[in-house]
Amino acid sequence: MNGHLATAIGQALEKLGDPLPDDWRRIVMVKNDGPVPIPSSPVPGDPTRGFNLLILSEGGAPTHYVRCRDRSDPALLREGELLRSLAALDDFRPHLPECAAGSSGSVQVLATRFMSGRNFSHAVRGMPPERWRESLFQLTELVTRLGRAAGEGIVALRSTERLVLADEAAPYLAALGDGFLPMAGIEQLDGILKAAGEVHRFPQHGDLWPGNIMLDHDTWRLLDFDSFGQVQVPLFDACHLTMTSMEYLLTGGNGYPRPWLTYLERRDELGEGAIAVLHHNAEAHGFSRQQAMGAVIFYLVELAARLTRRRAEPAISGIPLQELAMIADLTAAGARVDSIIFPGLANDHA
Amino acid sequence: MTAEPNATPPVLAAGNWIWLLGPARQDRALVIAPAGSGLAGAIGPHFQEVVRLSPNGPAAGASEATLDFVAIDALEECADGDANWLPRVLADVRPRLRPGGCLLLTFSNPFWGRRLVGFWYPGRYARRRKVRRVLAGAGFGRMDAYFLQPFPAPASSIIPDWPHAAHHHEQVQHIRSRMGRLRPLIARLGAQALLYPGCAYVAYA
Repeated sequence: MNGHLATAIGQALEKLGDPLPDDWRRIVMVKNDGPVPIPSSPVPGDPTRGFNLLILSEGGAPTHYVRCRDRSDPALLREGELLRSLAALDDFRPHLPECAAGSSGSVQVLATRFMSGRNFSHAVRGMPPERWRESLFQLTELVTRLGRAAGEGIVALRSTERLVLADEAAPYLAALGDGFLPMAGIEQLDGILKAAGEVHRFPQHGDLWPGNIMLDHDTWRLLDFDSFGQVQVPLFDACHLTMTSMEYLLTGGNGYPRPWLTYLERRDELGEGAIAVLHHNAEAHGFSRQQAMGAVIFYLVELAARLTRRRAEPAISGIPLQELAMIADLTAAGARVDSIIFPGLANDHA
Repeated sequence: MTAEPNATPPVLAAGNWIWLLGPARQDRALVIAPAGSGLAGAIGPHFQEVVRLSPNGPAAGASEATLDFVAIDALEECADGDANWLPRVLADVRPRLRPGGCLLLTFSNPFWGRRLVGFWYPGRYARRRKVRRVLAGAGFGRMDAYFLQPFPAPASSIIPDWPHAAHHHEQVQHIRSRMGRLRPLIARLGAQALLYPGCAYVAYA
């Protein structure tokens, strides 16, 4: 292994009080998505994603997950500091990864002790709908408590300023207008966002999909706080968790057999479960039906824009794009999509 | 440091191999690769000088040991069915590697969906054991085997040839495929060679 990388990992493991690997060949490189160091010339797409390493013990058990990035990238440093701050709050320590940072030469790392338990992306496959719904209630409750504590306890995330949903979504909608959605559809979505008006700020995990969740006996553990607090639109985590976990439950992460919205529309057991989770979370934030619908559109627009910017496979980026196109078409035809997803919420703004 | 025109982050990420391998020095590198390979550009930032040769181009030239890293990318495209291509090239480049330098050789996994092509074009896809023998015959001592995914597109995963490594790779990668549930089991059973489209050997001078 390169000396700088070994030094950086060594620093991080020392902070965690863990021994260095005695054989650097027991390392798996995963998500090798971007060059370290980052080129100085412009590169299409997101060049900051670096690569991740999975370190295995002599017996073959995973011991650490190490994210490696260009030293100039502030995101990893921010994440390490954020996790230290979050671990000091309330009773969240059991739910958070234990991590430490290191750097040398042009590389910086954030090493996380491998968490025991079962990844939710595996556990959710074929899960009975009732148990899935209960899991989502527990998880959204946990991230809501975490978001509230972070918003109150971490200075950088403290804000009383309200968000105008249409303004917040404008750059993402503009990106999708560049060949991903027809302009007529963009206008319909913008109309829904404008009708939603303002919402309060509430820090979100930002990437709460089943792959970032572990279940260790009865304790939920969350991973990957890379985006924590960067999105502050309430309901974002609930939408992402509901939509992605339903996909993993149905197809093991191989996309939806039909649009997500149709499950909600038909109100089968899964659709009812999704509606109940979203309704519960919208109500917890005091949302009107329009605000809740605006938050859902914001989620889909942000996700679609992020995935297309990263040049994700069409099978992945196509999921939110398909939902947005369907919502735009239904709205243009005069249907009230908010009454499909949030039938129990009041129409007027709270 | 500059990127090759139109090189995307995943293409440039091929240069991250160097973080895993860590040749003793990072001054001079030689890349032998087919026309479409972005490897030479991707490793460029890690070396003071990178020379790129086409597979059927002239021999590497001087015989003194001045290279820290040699990469042969996509062996089957380089060799194009010539079974003697690899021994010939290794005989040329092996003496030119400095002590502590290393060679990276990538090639398609012959087990992986290539049987029909192999039938039509016998000898195009080299078996792993044969490649290892050729490397040993060229005088390389330590050799580490890896699997690559995807291949020949730039690898987003580099997995040591070890059932535990493949098993945990499958556990954390959440690979979107109809085989998604079976893959960790296949790896656990030691049949990881069935799972990945690309192979690599890293051999040290």
